[in-house]
Amino acid sequence: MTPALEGLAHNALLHTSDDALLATAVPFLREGLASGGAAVAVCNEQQCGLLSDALGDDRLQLLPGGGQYRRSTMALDGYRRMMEDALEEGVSRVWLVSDTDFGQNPLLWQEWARYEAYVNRALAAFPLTTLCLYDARRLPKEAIRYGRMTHPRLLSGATWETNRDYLDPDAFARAMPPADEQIEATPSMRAVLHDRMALSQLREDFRRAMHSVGTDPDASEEFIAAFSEVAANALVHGLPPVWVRLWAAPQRIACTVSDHGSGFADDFAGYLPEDPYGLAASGRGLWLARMLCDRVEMWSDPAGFTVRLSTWPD
Amino acid sequence: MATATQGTPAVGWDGHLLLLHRSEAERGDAVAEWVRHGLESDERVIYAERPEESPERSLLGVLHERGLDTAAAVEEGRLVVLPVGDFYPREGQVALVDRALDEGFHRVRLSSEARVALSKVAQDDYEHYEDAMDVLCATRPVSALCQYDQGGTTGWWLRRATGSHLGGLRETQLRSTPAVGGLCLVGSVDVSNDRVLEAVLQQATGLHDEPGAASPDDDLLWLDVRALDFIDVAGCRALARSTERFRRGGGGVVLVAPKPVVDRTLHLMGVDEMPGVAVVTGRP
Repeated sequence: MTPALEGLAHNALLHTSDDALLATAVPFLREGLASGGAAVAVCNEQQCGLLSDALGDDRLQLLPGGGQYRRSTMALDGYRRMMEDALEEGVSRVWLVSDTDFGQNPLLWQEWARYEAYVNRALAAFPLTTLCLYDARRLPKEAIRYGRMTHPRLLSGATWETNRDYLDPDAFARAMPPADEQIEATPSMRAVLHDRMALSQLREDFRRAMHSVGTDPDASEEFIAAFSEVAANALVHGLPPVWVRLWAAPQRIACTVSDHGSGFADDFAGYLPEDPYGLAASGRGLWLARMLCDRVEMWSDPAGFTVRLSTWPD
Repeated sequence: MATATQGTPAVGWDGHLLLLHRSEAERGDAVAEWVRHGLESDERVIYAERPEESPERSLLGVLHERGLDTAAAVEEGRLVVLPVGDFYPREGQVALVDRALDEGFHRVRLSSEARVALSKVAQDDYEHYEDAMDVLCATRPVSALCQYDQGGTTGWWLRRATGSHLGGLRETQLRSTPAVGGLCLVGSVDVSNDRVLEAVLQQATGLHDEPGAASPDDDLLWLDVRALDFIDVAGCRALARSTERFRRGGGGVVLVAPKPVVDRTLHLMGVDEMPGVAVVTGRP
């Protein structure tokens, strides 16, 4: 029985066969169309084919997945834009079947899980019903576990089941603190920033350090831009001096930016700016940093507040 | 038809330039480069200095430290250090220029520190000298380098300084130079110099606001950013803020040939979607 819907309904389907996928996704999309909503699939080609054939309704909009999923912030931005466009076109509700792909990098699975958790808050106001596909044949066990922790309801056939494993975004973030990473045991470039005048030189030093180990230049430039925003935040809003460490390898870039301030309590800061189109809105720098590198983590400890940036160049 | 813009724009040491320096070392490096350029081109270089200036801050000290041998140039009158009062004569600096030209020099360069000048010349008079220098550089073979300390040059004074140096700006991270229909921006803009970009663009759009602007291009400000290496959120905000009035009045800002990372930041920050802004790969 479908519950009354207001705002976001973020559901997951854990499945191990195409038949199971269709047994839930097809009635889901039918119900959406029958209630006057729009039906959308953001899936891989094979899934799109299956859904399209089984549904037999050309109102289903097929959007190829992948592109906007390069980074979690991009996915969030993509869905926000999709919903804004839909509302502008007068769509009452979007029924979305969306494949889950946590990618090949285990160190990014937790980041994707954080994104799934944050969707519950970031898209809460939109008339959007999702069916997030968790294919246990393809996905690692952790991803399935994270899927259970981040979706308030699990769907199976026509049954909507309240998910007892669900954690609200803040509880999820507390349960998933940033871990120590191996790379931090390796030598790093260190610097102390006292004022913003020194930022430009440090960007140049970063550029040189990455160049010397053969990091992809485009990935380097984006990472440097992400770093610059975070360091500027620490200088302007934090409590300088700002301590910076950089680890650069061809397949991995990481840096930490620490100040002595208390930072901010919101684990999801910068995922989605309050006013996404307002250039003046606060949080834009952190948002830009999230768009320009693969992972942004933040934590406070007695010494101060640290932001860690990571990128895995292709 | 847009064509790709190639190469690095020339941002030299000629014209009426504003040097906005953050440190003594930086000031010394820029002044030495500027003087070297003049001496190598057989120009007369005239420099204002207080007699009580310390040896290491004095022009000859600064040049010596950077390996410039100036003895012959001083002997031959190619390099002249004047007391501030003589550098700003009552009849105007045109007198200094004409004397050098009469003596057979084909070009003249003039430089002083704003704070040194202001120790002898009243603020109103100094501004008058700066405005007159723009005219002088445009009408005679003259270049000038006006040295301003960045820490002491903010707000109204920064806008005024930017406004009176049509030849462009030489700042630690950012250089600007006039280009057809607008400006060429070279270097990087971040939270340390966003106000400088703001002043430069306010000035550039302000010029376009002036009545009597004739060419059809005057509704467009062309910003050649192909040699801009970096811009951050603060820089994007400065760009938006400083051109807002101009754009609201129907003007357009065209950003030409940004590098990938600059293009990406402009796009992510929505600058390319702001009313009156376009990003293009080259100039028609």
